[in-house]
Amino acid sequence: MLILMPADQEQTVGLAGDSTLLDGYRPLPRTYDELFRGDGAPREEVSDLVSELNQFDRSEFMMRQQLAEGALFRGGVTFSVYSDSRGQEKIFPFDLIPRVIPARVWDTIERGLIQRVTALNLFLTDLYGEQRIMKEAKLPESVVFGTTGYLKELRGLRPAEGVFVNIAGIDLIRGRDGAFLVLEDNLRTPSGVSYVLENRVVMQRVFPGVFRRSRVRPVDSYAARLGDALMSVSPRDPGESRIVVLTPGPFNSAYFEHSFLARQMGCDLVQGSDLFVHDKRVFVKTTAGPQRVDVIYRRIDDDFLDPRVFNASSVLGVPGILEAYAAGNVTLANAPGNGVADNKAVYPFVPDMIRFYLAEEPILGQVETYICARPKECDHVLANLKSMVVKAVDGSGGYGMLFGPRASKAELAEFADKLRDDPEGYIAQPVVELSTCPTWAEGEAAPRRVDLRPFVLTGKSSWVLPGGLTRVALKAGSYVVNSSQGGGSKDTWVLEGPSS
Amino acid sequence: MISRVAGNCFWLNRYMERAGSMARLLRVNRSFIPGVDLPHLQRWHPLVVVAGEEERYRRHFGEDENGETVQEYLTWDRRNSTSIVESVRWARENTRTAREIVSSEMWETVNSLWHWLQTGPGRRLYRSDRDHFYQHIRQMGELFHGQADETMLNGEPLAFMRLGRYLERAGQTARLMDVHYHTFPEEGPIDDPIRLAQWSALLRSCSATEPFQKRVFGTPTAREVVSFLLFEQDLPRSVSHCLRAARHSLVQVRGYGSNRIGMVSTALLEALLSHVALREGHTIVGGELHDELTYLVDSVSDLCASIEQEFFQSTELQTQILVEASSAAAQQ
Repeated sequence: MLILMPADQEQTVGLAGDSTLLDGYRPLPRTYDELFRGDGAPREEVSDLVSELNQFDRSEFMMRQQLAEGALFRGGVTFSVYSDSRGQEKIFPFDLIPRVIPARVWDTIERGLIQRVTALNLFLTDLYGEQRIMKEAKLPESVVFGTTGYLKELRGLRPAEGVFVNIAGIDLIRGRDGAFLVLEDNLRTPSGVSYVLENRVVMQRVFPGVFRRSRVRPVDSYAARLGDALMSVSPRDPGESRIVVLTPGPFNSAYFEHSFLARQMGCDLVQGSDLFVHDKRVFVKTTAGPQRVDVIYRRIDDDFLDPRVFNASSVLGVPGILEAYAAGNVTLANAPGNGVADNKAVYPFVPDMIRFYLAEEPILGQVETYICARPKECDHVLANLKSMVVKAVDGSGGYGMLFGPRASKAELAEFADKLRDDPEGYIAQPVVELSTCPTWAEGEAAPRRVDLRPFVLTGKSSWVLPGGLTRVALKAGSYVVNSSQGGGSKDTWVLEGPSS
Repeated sequence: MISRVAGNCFWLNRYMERAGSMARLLRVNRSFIPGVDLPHLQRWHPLVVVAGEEERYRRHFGEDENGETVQEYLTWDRRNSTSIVESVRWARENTRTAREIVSSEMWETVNSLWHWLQTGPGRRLYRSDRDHFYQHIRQMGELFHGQADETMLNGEPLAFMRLGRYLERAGQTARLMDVHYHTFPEEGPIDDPIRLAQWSALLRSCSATEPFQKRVFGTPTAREVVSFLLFEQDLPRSVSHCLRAARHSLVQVRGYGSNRIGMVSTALLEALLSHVALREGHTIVGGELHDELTYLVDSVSDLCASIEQEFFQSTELQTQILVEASSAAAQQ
C-alpha cells in the first residue's frame, strides 16, 4: 500500500474525478451489505449516515484517507511484519468508511456476548474443578483431553473471583440473512483493541462533522474499564495493588498495543526479565528496589509463561510465576489454561454449554459445524468438500485451513487424504457469505467482506466495548480478513439508541 | 520506575544527543573557513577519531581520508555504531520500547526523523543541500531535548533522560577538545589563520562561538578557550556544567529510590566533580591537557558503566534487598 505524506497531498486532488463517494455503489449479489439493500438503496437505519458520507466527492475523500494514513504512520500505529534492522513496519491498513451498527442490533449482540462469556467462564471453572459437564455426558472427554489447551497441572486452581476470561475477543460474522453469528472465541490473549481506539481518534480528526452529527457511542473508556476489571480481581487490597502489562518484548508484532494499553491504564509495561519470584511472590525490579506485583495482564502465551513448568527454553517468561499464581499471590489475566475453551474442537459444544450452565437458549447463533471425529459427519464433509471450509483444530490466524470453493482439484484431494488420516484433527463448516461494507478501493467505494471482533471485559461483572475491531478483506472477492494476510480495519460505529 | 525502562530513558537521550552532536560536528567541518586549505587528512581524520572509529574505519577504507568517504561513513554507514543513522535508529528503538513513558511529542519527533532518514527525503537532501541536511538533524535533536523538558512530568523518567543527555555531552566536549589539543599554542594569542580556523571550529562544534564572544574580547588565547569549554558554568556544553547538571539528576533519581541503589555512581560522580573543581583556574595545555581530557573521558565512561550496573541491571542487588528486608523483619 502506498503511504503518502501530507506534502504530497495537493498533487492528488482532482485525480479521481468529481462523482461523490457512494454514487453508483452496487452491493454484491446474494450477499448482505452493511449499508445498502440489495436494490442499491441505503438501509433505512443508516440512511442519514450514508448521505453524510456521500457529501464528499472522491478526490476529497482520497485526500482525507491519505491524511488518516499519514497520522497513523507518524504516530507509529504500526505492526512489524518482520522487524529487522531496516525497521520494516507497516500501518495496519485503515479504511475510512465506517462500519455502522444500529442500536437495537447492538443491544442483542451485547447480551449475547455477555451470555456466552459467562458460560465459557463457568465451563473453565468446571473443567479445572468438578468436571460436571463431562460426568453428565454433555461433552465427550475426548474433545477436552484430545486437544492441546487443557493444562492438567492446573486442576484444582480457581483464579480470583472465579474469572478465567478477563478479556475476551469474540469474532462475529454476518451471513446472507444479516444475522450475526459467532465464528470463533479468543480467550487467551486477544489483540486488536488498540486499533479500535486509535482508529476512532483518527476518524474524529478526519471527519469531525460527520462524527458529531451521527451520535456514535464512545469507546474511549476502554482502558479505564480494563484497569477496573483487573483491579477487581487483585489478591490484595486495590489501594495497594500494582498492575503490570507483561509483553514478550519490542519485537513482538503486537508490541504497539501492549505499550498503548499500559500507557492508557497508567501502569508499567514489563518484560519477563523485569519480574522475579521470591518466596512465591512476584516482584518487579525498579530503581527504588523490588516492588510487589499483584495483577499481571500478560500478553504472552501459556507455553512461555513459566520455564519451570512449561517450555523450559523460554526466555520470555518468569521462573516460578505459576507457583506464585497457585499460592494465590498474583492474578494472571487471562488465567492460564484457557486454550481448552477456545479451540475449534470445543466450539461446536458452546451452545450446549450455555444451556447446561445457564439454562438459557443462546442469544447469538454460531456457524453450523461438522465434527470430523464423528464418522457420519466426516463422510458428509468429504462428499461436499468443495463447499466447505475445513479447519485444523489447533490452527489459528487463517493458517492450516482449506477454503473449498477456491481450492484446486489437487488441493482438495490432498486435504481429503489428511482428513481420512486424522479426522479428530479437523472440523468443517459450510462457507458463509461474509457480509460486505463499502470500502475505498482504487479510487472508488467497492464492496469488501468484513468481520467483527468485539471485546468483553470481565471483573466482578462483564462489560462490552461498543463496537469492536472491524476487519476487512481488502482484496476483491477475498474472505480472509487477517492482518497477516492482507486485511485492514475500519472504525465500527455503534449508534446511540433513541434518546429516552 | 522499572529498571530496564530507566535504562531506555537514559540511552534514548544519549543516542539522540550523539546524533545531534555528530551532525553539528560534520556541518562545522564542512563549512570550516573559506580560504583555509587544509589537507583532507588533517581536516577529516579528526572526526573519525572523535567518533572513536579509527580502527574500524581503517579496516574498511584503509588510508582513504577523502571528505566524502568520511561523511558517508559517519552519517550513513550501518557498520559504524556511532553513525548518525545508527544513533537515530537506537534512539528510536529505545523510545519505542519505552513508549508508555516517553511523551507522544518526543516519540513523533524521533519517529519522523527516523522515517525521514530511512525513506528517501533525507537522502535526497544529503545530496542536494548537505548543510541543510545536517542542520535539520541538529534541530530535530534540539527539538527532542526541548520537548523532553516541555512535555514530560518532572519526575524520575525525565531525570534519567537528563542524566543520559548530560553525561553523553560531557564526554563529547572532552573528546572534541582532545582531538584539537595538539594545535593549542602553549602561550600567547592564537594568530595563525589555520589554527584560528580550527579553534573557531571547535567552539562552533560546541555551540559556543557566540557565548565565547560575549565573555572574551579580542584575539583569544588557548587558555581562555580551554577554560571556557571545561569550566564555564553558564555554558550548556562545558564539561563542568554538564557534570553539575548530571549530579542534579542523579540526586533527583536517588530521591525516588532505595538508598541501596546508586551509592557507587554517586561516589564516582562526586570524585569527578571535585577533581574538576580543583583544576579550575589553572592553565592546562599541551600533553597535560591531553592527560586531563583522557582522564575525563574515562571517568565519564566508568560512571556510565556504574549507573548501568546499579540502576538498570540490578537483579542481584534487588534480591539482596528483599532478603535483608525479610531478615530484618524476622529479627523484630
